[in-house]
Amino acid sequence: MLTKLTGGRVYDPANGRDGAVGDLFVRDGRIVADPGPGAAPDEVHDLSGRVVMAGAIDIHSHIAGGKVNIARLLMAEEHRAAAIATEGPCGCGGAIATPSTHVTGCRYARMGYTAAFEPAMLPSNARHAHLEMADIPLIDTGGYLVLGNDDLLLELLASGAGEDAVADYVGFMLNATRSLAVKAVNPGGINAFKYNRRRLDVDEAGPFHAITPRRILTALAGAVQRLGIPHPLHLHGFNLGVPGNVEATLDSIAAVEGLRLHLTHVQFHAYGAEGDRKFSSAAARIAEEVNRRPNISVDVGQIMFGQTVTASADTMAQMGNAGLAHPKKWVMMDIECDAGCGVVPFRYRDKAFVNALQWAIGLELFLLIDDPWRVFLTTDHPNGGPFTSYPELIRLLMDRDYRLARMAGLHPDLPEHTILGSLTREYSLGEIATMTRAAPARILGLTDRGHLGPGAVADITVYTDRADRRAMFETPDLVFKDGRVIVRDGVVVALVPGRTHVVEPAYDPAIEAWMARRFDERMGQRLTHFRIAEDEIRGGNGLIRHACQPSGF
Amino acid sequence: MSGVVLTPREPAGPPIDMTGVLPERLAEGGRDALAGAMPVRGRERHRLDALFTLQDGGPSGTLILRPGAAVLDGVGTGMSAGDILVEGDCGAYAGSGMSGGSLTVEGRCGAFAAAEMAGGRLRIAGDAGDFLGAPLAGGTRGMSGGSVTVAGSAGDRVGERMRRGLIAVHGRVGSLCGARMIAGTIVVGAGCGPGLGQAMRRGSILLSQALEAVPPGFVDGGMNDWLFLELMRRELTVGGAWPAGFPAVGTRARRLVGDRSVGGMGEVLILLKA
Repeated sequence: MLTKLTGGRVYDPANGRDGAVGDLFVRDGRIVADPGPGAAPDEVHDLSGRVVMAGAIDIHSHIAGGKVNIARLLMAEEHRAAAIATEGPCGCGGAIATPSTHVTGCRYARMGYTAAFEPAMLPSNARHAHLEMADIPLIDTGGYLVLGNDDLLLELLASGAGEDAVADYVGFMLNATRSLAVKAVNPGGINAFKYNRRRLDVDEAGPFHAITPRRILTALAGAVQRLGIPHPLHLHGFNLGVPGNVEATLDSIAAVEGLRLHLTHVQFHAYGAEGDRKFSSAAARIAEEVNRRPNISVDVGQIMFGQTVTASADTMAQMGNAGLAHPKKWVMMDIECDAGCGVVPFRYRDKAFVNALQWAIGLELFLLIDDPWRVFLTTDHPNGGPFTSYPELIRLLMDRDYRLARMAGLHPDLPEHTILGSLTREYSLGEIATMTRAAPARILGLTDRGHLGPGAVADITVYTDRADRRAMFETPDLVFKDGRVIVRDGVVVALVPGRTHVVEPAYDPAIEAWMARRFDERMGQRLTHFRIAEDEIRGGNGLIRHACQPSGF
Repeated sequence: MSGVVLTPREPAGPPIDMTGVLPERLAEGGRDALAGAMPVRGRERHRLDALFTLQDGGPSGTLILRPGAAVLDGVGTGMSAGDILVEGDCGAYAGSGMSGGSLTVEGRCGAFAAAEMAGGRLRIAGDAGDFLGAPLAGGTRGMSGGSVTVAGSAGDRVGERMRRGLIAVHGRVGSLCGARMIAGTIVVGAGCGPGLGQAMRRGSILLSQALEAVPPGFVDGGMNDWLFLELMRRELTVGGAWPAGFPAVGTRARRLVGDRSVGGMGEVLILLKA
């Protein structure tokens, strides 16, 4: 079947199209070149005057896995208050910060997203995360494997194992857990927390194994590079949320010595300790460093005001935040000493100075980092705010007047502490298309997504160009998934399953014998059970494998 | 003007969530407004008069429900005034979040009856399920006012995290009765399961049967005469909350104090026959 999308203004940064009017052709779920005047399309969509982009891709959103489910249970009142009755093909469900799987898929699709990636899948919990992700309709998913606090890796490093052995270990773990990338969460810190430490600096040897976070960080970044995994090491840095943590963030950038590194929710790691309140913005320092070093990319983790819940593997940081819980309840837990888990409900208040400055720091980062290919639009859902606040965030980036008006309503001391008021940059539609489509696809190695060139999967979003960018991005006119219309005028019209993106890097299987022994000694399951079979994911019909080879910027 | 009698058009079927079908609605907008309420049946919303027949009956302003075999959840949820009489059983959430008025159930109630109740009166002639007067899922505060009388037995976690008000169960209660209670009064007529008053901080739990052992975390405060018991008996007898098995005279009781593991100063009072 041939579908023609005609007359739209196409924003396709990966193929150098920035709003030029053009036609798109879709055959069997993929975009094809113009088949010429002889071809008769079976279906024509007249998109005159509309804005056409690829389906958006969320690079960092906690949508599945143990901590997400704990957050759902902890925030049960949210599911009661924001319950949704059945609506067309979308089943019921509810909640805002902790939506059910079904609602997650439907809400993403309604905003024009066709993929979202779970950035913190614990090895022992990967099977659960995959089962949940498979239950999310309409969008593609995938998981980043959390390493860096697991005893096996630390033992490997402590025993003086070489880079090859570390890479083999990482390679095995990625294959076994069907992951797309490697994430490190406060490397070394979560492990140290279990020995009652509340802080661990980059060059401080951790307890027991006496490994420094710097060593773990460089080992993992190196392993990712050696294995040729498309996405660089996805780093949740040190001392999250602590004033003055900018030094540790800059140390991390320096530590990888030119290796590629992705700093995630960097807003939470861009705090200085200056000024009368001992809390200041260090966004300019981070942005300067990112602009200078092409090996570094970031996603922002913008905070948006209102009630949400923070869910993180970083038990060390979350234990510190537990006293700030709103409502007053929290959960910390751990399985298999893989990493950690802390769930703390939180309400960001626009009249609170700290929250207002966090908000401003996030926006400063967006506006000061020049290259939209290396800064990604996230709220670290649900940690900074639910993903449904993206349209509002886009408006803040694209509309300076709105930004200033919003800023005027925040804590009165804010203007003295931020340069946000002086930043005149406004994102263009092309730049938004880059940071939400082309760049995420490229940095994850999804070669056939995030763009509209021939061969790309026909994940397409069509918007009406409105001055109110929030309204525009909240309700696309049409969303196509694999060439099929799934959303029309903001309403889901068809339910289709998504796919799971994985990498399968090559490694030396000799490492498995050592690992099998360690699993037998220490883990609750055997290595053979730990490994997830292909048919466990979406009934064996859902994996999309991405080639492992170093990809440049 | 008489009240309204609601009878399900189908004798059985998916549960119907009666949230919003309240006497206030009848008082404010009359029968038409009531008929226009949109309860959820299974997964779909329907007008009330599509699901029930509405007939005149009973005292003015009263809602009378005759559920038969239908499962009605959320009867009286959020009710603030007026009367509801259920001539049969209720599903879950009967009287949850209620702040005033009176709900009388002639049969049994499911889980979460009177959950997060703030005021008013709930009378259950049969048994009640788990979480009677407890917080709703995710909530951190249980019942904060009003009174509940259960003539039968109740399930687990009766009065969990309760802050104020009265729960009187004439029969047995299950485990963790009064757990994490902050204040308020629970009366248990016929014995309770394990975990009584676990982590309770204040409040009173009245029993008339000796416990097999002092609950963990509680210390024995000895026997005493408590004059207030006489006043309490009079008060509760009038309201029908004083269990038949409780002594009709006398003010002697054994007092257990706890839960000391959380620094609690709540009390379990075991009434003695005079």
